[in-house]
Amino acid sequence: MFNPEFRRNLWLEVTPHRLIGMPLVLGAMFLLAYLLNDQEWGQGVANLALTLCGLISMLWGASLAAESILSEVRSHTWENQRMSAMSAWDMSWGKLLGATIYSWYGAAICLLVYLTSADKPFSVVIKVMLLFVLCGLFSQSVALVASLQILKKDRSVARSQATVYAVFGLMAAAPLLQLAFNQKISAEWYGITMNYMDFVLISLVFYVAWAWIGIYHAMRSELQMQHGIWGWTLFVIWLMGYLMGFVDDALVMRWGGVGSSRLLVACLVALVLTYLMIFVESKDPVIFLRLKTMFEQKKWQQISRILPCWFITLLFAFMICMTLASVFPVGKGFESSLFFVALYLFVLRDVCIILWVNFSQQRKRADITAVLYLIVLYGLLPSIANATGLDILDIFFFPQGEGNAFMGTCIVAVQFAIVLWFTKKRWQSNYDIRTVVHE
Amino acid sequence: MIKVEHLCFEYPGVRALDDVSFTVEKGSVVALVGPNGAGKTTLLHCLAALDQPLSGVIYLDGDDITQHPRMTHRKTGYLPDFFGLYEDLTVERCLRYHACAHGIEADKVEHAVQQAAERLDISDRMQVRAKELSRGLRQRLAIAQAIVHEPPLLLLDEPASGLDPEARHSLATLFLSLRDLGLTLIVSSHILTELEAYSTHMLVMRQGKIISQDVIHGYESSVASCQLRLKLASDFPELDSVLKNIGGISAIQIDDQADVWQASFSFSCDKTLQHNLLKQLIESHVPIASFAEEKRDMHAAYLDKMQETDHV
Repeated sequence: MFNPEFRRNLWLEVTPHRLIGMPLVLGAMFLLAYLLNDQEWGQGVANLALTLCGLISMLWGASLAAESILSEVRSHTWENQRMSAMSAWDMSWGKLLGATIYSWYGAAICLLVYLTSADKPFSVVIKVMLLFVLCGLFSQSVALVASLQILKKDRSVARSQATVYAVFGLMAAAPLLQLAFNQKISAEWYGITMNYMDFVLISLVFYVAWAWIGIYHAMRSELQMQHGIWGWTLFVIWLMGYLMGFVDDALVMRWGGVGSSRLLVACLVALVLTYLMIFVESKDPVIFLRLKTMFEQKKWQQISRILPCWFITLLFAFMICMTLASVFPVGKGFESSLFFVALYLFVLRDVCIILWVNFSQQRKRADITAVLYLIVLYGLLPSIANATGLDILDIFFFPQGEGNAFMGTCIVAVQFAIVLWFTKKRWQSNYDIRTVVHE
Repeated sequence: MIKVEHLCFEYPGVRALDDVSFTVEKGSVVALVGPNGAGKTTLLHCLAALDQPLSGVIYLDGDDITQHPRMTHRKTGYLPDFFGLYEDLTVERCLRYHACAHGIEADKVEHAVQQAAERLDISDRMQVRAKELSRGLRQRLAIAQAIVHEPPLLLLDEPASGLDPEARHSLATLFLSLRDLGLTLIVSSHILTELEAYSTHMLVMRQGKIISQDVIHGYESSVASCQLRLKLASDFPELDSVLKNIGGISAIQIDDQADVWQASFSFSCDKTLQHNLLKQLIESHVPIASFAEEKRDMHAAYLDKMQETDHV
């Protein structure tokens, strides 16, 4: 059966008036470009076509993709959709391609103009067109998955502008577009040399695929369907594997070996994803209450279904940091190994700070408050210490690899223990001892 | 059809549903009543498998809905308190979309759309856009969308709010017809007089708990108990002992303060047993002036329940 969600979007998005309007507006712009370029149907028009295609698909299209969810929540139709019999996959592609169909109509016109005006070899033209299509899809997919994910955290964000999510999409896709037009001819990945544009295109196919898997997972969650930790775990492993491929000779020389360099990249991925996801995901105390209840009832399978993604990456970070502490850097001894122990303890301390703020009874703007605390801890206080010549206090603020490594590790361990205690106390007083307030 | 066991639902710091347990028989119409913040909407959300409870189990036709949420979505129609419509779509397209989204086969969609429109009496407005409909007609369209796939269970949250008296009356008529079709309805509402017109059971909630589940007058089984009221023609101090000596009587309340002696008590609704009771009272020389079933309306019953819990 034809996807009902896609068809509903067609009913709303594609009207005779709009079908005529788009080519008229774009046609007028291309005519102007043609006249301003000495009446030449050439590279000037082609450049405008690509710019318009990028704006229409990557910015406007991404905004439409995010709006496909936000508008449903705003207009109170989302509950009906959640109760439909449509599969998560049908709902995902019905929204992603349906809500953006009109922007693709405009983008297709732009690409057609580019095809006929570009002053480049045919194979390059085709690759550039493919690049813009993939970047558009990626930007829209990121905007959709971001809106779904943030909506899960807080329904009130439906009132926010879809443009915000479109900017997320643009921020994800634009660097790839920039890379593709890099002057480099070849890219090296795990020692394999390939054409730079080809490499970006292949990478984009994977990015789009992962973004779609992300949408599918988020949609399943909205439809109350359970899924395990495997999707996120595989993504983390894939991203680590993908980025490890870029470790080159310069890094190997600097970091003392291929293995340790790649582990450092993996560590960086785990840490960045932990911080990203802990801010993106909901820290609703009820989730922790549910986890605690399931833990007490030893329902391990159900725990794995509601375990936050940041917790999984935190486990990855633990394994990698401990491995690095035991192997890296060879020959530099105990103190450098302690750096990774201290690094992980700093991460644990930060996680506890973020949770402590979120376990407050006033949870509004909790994440912004947590970010503020982290800025103070990592930026303001060390700057004050440095400005007053007390550089020695750095051991309170950053993991140390030499000199005072042991003392630094002890200090961060104490910091972590204190913050953990406060977090536990706040949790127990506000949520674990259940208060019943109905009026 | 529905069995809820020890259901708990928690918002951060707030226990919205607290150890809720009840059952709903197939074909019944349950009025879900209670003050604001009692947990009615949260309960409906859990029954619709739109929210995961903290603990407890809900069975729909024997299946745990937390394990099979999509099965529940297929079997359930839900009209939320604040429902939305696709304003730019016509009535016909709104219904067609919902029919397709609920998995109705392509060759049966047309029939399902027509049937839902006819049931809600909106078939003459099929080409009107949703945004052009009146409040009452929007409500009808929303209900038509909820029942287009003929779900065996229909959950309605404040379906009559904002409707004029005429629209409310026709809504009550609609629910009666849906009940006659064999649907099970759970209706949350503040308008008790209308609920009484079509409900078979009343579920009273307060502070996240179920404080009573009663059969509404007229739908009792023969073994259910009725409230009987006895008025006497003259003083009769032995009334209390006479009533206590008769089997099957409970919750006796005697009022001898006013000029007229009267008593209220619980007894079987079975008419033969009531006939025998009257005979026994006359044989005991009770000076009976009147003997009748006390018909309390839903509103009075609800207020009684609320007052009972106030005293606890």
